[in-house]
Amino acid sequence: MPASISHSDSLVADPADRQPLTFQELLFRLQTFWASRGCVLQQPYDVEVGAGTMAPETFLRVLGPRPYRVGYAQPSRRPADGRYGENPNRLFKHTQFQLILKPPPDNIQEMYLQSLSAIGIDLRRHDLKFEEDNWESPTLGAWGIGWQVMLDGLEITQFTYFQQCGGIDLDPMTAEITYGLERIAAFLQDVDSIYDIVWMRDPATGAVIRYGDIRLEDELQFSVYNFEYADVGKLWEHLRLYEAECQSLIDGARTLADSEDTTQIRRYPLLGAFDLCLKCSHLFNLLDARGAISVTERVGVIARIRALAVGVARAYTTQQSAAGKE
Amino acid sequence: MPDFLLEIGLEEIPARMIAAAEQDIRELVKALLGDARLLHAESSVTAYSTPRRLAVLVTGVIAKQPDAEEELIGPSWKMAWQQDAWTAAALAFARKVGVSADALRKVTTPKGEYIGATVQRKGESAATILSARLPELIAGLSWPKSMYWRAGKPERFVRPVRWLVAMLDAEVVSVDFAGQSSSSSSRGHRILHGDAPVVLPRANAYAETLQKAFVLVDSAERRHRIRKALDRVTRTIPGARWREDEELVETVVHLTEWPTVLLGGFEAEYLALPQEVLVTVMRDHQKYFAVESADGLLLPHFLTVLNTEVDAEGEAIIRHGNERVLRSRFKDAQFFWDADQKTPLAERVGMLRAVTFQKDLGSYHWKTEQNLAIAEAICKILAYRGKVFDKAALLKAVLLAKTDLTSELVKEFTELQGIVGGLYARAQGLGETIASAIYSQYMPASMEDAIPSTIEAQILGLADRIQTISSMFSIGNIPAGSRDPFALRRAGNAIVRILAESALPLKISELIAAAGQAEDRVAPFLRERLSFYLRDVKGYAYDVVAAVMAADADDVSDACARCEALQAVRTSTDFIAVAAAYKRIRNILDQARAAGIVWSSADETLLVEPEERALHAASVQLAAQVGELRAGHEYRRALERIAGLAPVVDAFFTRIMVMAPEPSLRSARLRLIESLLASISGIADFAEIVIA
Repeated sequence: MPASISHSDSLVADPADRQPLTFQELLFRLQTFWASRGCVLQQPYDVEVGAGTMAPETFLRVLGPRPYRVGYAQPSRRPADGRYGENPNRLFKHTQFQLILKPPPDNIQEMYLQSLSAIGIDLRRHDLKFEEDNWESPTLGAWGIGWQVMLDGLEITQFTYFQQCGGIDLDPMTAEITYGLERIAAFLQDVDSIYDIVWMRDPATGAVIRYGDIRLEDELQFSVYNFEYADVGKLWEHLRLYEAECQSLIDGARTLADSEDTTQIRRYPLLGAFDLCLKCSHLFNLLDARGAISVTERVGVIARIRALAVGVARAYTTQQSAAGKE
Repeated sequence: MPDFLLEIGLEEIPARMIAAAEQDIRELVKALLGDARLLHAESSVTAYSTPRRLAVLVTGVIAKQPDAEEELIGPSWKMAWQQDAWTAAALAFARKVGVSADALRKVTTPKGEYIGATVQRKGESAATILSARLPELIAGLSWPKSMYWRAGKPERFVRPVRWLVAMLDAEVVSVDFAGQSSSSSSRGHRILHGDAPVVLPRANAYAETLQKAFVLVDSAERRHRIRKALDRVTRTIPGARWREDEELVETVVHLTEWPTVLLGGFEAEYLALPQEVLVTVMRDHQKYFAVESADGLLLPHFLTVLNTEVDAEGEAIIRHGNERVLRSRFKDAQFFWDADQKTPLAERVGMLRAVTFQKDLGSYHWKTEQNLAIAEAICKILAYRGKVFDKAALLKAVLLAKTDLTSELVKEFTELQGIVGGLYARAQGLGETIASAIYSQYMPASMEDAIPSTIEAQILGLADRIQTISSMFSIGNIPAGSRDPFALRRAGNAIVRILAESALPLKISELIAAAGQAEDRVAPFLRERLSFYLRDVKGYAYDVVAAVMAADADDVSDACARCEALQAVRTSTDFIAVAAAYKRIRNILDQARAAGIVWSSADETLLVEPEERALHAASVQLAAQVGELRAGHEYRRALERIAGLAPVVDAFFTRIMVMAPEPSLRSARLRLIESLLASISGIADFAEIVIA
């Protein structure tokens, strides 16, 4: 972990440099800030997820007793939200800066407010409210209690105390803080379209590269794929295959758990099983965007994915406690 | 006498829960002090709250309970004193209450002889009692939704507790809860005051000390300030007023510790969007107050209540930020509106197959088909009874009623369902009857809300709701206790209100039959809603409602009329006499039946006494009169006629013995009172009337 950096003061932008943070600077600042509070910095998870919560660094780490602090920027894909790059506020893939603090420190809200100072928000000149907003994910068997943090009427963060994950009651609890990076960057830079966000500014020339320069094509093509080209029959087939493989791994874990062979239990690939579960979740989202899931199927498919998530969570908890005994 | 302060410091409590919690903690603290004999007659108990704290200040607490003697009763004398000595049971009692055996004596009570002892109770100090009992009191506060946050999950509370203050005057009362120990140190406004502790010099300096730390702990004061500020700021726009919204005022009162009001604006071009959409965005999504002209037209301004106080530069920044958010939301709404017009409502009916109504029942397409069948059946009844309405428009409205669920605008603003459909129907030229029926299908949304104004909308509202109720009942989703996840009670209330206030000639049983429903719990459920409506909404006395519903509970508007009439006459002396006679008659008949007496072949010529002949004559006349008045729904006059019978009935029961020894005479008299009962029973079951 990086050596502790003295607190927010050193992180506030040089007053002479009144340029708002670029998109990448915003991420640097948040990473630096939370690293200095003892967080592991992770890279985004490299399987498609709908939210940072689904990445194993959250979903699996919140289970069991071991304390953990981690932060990572997670591209979050929601096929149905795609707008072909035409809507200035909506994206198929947005970026969440996801933070997990397990257990939550007593001064977590104060730390969070300091992080806002760290990205150049002078709270004496803004209006900040914590408004009730509880979070629930039926597909993950997870829910929590918390707030949306409103800054001048804009929701900039989702703040949740996880209570349950993968159908398992948590102890200790975990606080999850999710910053919506595009929103915050657009707010800081005062631009009306996400695509106008300055992603980076060349220090030598001052030339800028904007969000649209980098991501517009991505939004357009994936909207076309998700809404028009994705092959429904193949998506169902993929879903079936991934589900079957995931389920057989879960079944295997159950059999193994009875063996009390801790070496075997410890090396059993539940992380692989979880990747397969994530694949299923993404395929479900694609099918949904394609309008391919009928009423009766919808609830059923959600239940199938939930069964995988819950199965992996249970097996993972067992595995962790077996490994702990070793 | 010292003043007592308790403050629970929390992470932000949900605004919707604060008012109830404030009242809750006030009552609990008051009860605790009262039970412990620490509350002086002149004590005042005041609760305070902000999003981050819940507090109670009690003035004039008794510092120490007076010492007291207490008489305690032990085992019976027989058990306690045997063979001239105290038994083990007696000695155990002495030990338990802390006296020596010498102090035991015989006491005689109405229940018999026991042993007793006089025990000296030393009064305890308020501080001791509060220390001991406050943790349990705090834990006992009830919250609609609570959480764990500490390892080991030792307690649940609405949000993490971050500090505790408990003081008697300047002294800290030691209280431990949720890992926090009390002190005299509170906290101020997060930003305006910062993290430095706010030390309270004494309990009753609470409000003034916190005010210096930019926290108004008195929610009433914040409410007052917010209203004043809304007025003041709105005055800067000539001729404007803010749109009154009590619920929103309450929300912002409980979202702020130091409220100020800021005026913002938006581009006038957005006023082209329907005002329902604009107000929903402002109110429900942004918690802004809408601004309107004197004649109620929306103006391109809004008011937002801040939880801070800023300089001019800060105001400009915050205004700009809020306007930016609002503009993008309006832009979205405009975008959705335009996009939705590309697929007219009529083309959306098939899309309803993809929208779930209930997973075990079917889609909204299925529901629409059901609704159509029910609406047709209702139409048949109403047409037969001569009601005039546009059936084609109604059926079209039923067909299209749910199609707005497929629109982008409703996906974004779910609270506008129905309203959006109505607006689209109007924009797509479907005509006002169809548009307004779709628009107002969810009215009344609450007991305060009006019912739909057109007959077509009323029928749509009835058909939709009875379909929901009966299909949910058919799969076992029946409300029980506080569990009513599909808001079926609200749907039932709406049905009753529409039937009561529209005066549609339609009975509850007919509505249920229109839904083709055999589930026998639907009728009692709707009757219970009718009873609720008559009692809690119309305010009729419990027994009046019971009496009216016992006579007939199928025709809602008729039940209303009968309640009104009965409520009006029930206190008159004559009516009370008749009601009493009614009960008496009922009892006599019940007993006669129980004794196996049969009077069906009674001979009325056997009635010869003047009092029974008078009652017979009056009864025959009354039956005709009451029948006629009832048919004309003149219940008040009918009941007055019935009450007019009092002297005759009175004379009858004074002079005549119904259960005469001679069987044929007894039968004739039983027959007489039975027919009297029948002639006055149709309006209400007077046996239900409670006579003081």
